[in-house]
Amino acid sequence: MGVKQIHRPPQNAWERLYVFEIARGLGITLKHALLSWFKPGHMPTYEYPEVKRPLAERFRGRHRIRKREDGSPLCVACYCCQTVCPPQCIDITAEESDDPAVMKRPREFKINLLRCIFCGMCVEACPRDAIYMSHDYELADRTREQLQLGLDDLLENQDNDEGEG
Amino acid sequence: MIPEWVQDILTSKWTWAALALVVAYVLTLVGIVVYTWLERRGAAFIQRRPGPNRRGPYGIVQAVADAVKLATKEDVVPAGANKWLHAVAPMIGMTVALTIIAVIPFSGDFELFGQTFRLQIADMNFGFIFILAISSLAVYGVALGGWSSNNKYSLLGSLRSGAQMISYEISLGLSLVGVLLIYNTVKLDEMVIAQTGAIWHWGVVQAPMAFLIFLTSSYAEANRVPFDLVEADSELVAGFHTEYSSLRFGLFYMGEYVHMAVSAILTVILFFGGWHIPWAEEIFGSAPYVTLFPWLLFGAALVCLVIAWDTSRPRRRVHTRGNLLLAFLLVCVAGSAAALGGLYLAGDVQTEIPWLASICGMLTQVIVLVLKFAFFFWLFIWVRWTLPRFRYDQLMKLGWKVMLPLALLNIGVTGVLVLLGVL
Repeated sequence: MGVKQIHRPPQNAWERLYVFEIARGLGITLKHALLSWFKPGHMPTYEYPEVKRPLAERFRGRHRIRKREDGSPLCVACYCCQTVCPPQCIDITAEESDDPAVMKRPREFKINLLRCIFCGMCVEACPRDAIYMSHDYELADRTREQLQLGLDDLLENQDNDEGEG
Repeated sequence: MIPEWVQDILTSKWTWAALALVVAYVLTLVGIVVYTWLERRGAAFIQRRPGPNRRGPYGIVQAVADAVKLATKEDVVPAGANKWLHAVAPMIGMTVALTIIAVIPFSGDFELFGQTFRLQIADMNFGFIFILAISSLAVYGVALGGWSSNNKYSLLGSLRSGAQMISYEISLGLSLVGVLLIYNTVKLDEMVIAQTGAIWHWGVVQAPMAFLIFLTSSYAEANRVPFDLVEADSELVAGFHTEYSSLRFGLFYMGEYVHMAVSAILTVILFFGGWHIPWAEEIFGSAPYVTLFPWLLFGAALVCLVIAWDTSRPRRRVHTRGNLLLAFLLVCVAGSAAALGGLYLAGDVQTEIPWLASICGMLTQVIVLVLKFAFFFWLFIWVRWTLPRFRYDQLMKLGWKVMLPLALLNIGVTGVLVLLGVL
């Protein structure tokens, strides 16, 4: 087993007295304390619930499904996302579509958010760009049932964020 | 002019001992509310983050929330613990810290109807030795707490603490011998009187080495960073109080703050002139503190107004409630303080009502002491967020190879200087 030797920089006599170096350190911390007191706006922190961090454009939050002009889901129930999903949290039930131009549509589209790892592979797999991941990341809830998303949950609040586009 | 019974109350030594008790309890137990807030927000500001700023103006009510949280937690006694000692240990730490404050004088002598009083709970003629004797008992609380928990980490923490406190007790005691030589008394009030006048009469100027050793040792005694090996969160979970929860943990926690408060007061008494303002007699005449009292009231009023203005600003009211209430109360306090100060000056209290004037002078001294104390309490917090923790061998090396010889050398040098008549 190799022993790692750490070479500390040598200290001169002044530094070895400690007292003055400690005083210097106290000066540094006091400077920061005073900066925080007089310029609170310069703190590198966010007052979270009120102020939120700007998110990256490609941030992966909870899923949404895009709608057609008439409000029906863009999804064609091809099962690509369900197949590719690593934790297998997507569960689709297909049915025949009324629209003669579209073959299938989802009757149920369930996502178990407790299972989801937010990897975004469903978005990659989607041939119609129907599913996308929004910027909605405040996902805590009181019961497990409330974190099982259905088709209605996935279709709502479309206007709030554009998502990956 | 005043009724007999009022005079009886004023000239009873119990009145002033009770007032001293109130001051002592405000500084230690009630003060914990402020100290925890100061510690948490001080730490936050040094680390460039806001800290707890939601409960009450400036987050000051956070300590109450902390206390409620502690009180409502489950009180766990681990299996295999010595139940009796487990319960007693936190009490020992707290009791010891609180006992020391009994001999601390909060003001100088003041005269009432021809009798002399002092704001001190117990006027012992061996006050100083009492402090040394009692403070060495503090190690029992920590050692028993760790041992009775039936937990290896707790035991390790308390063993370290035992070794540490005994090692630093020696340099603490020896550093004070130097002070003893200079002041030539073991009574704390006489020590403060010896520091009257010019600033170079202060202990810190007369015995700077003793001051440094005392300060360092008192940090080690209070188990504060950089000597918090007892707790050492990163190594020992929480050291001796790992197995403590609920109010018993709270008692340890409070004991630590009381210990810090007592250390800070002692530092002020021994080295920073206690309740004295340097050159007070030269600047403000023969009874400086009596003269200063109304100006102190005006100063307090000004400070209250500044805080009231600050707390009512929209920026301060974003997250908190009660700011305007606090501002209103502060304005009321400021108004009454200024009015009292004005009355004091207009009524010529100093010559007309000498007994009231001497009580006011005493209050001024208490406030001067508290202001100096506040600085040293802040120093505890400031140092905690500046220095890293010592390693165990470094701690022992510092204690035995540096502090102890320095303390001995300090005694020798001080003794020679005292003999030569320099000090």
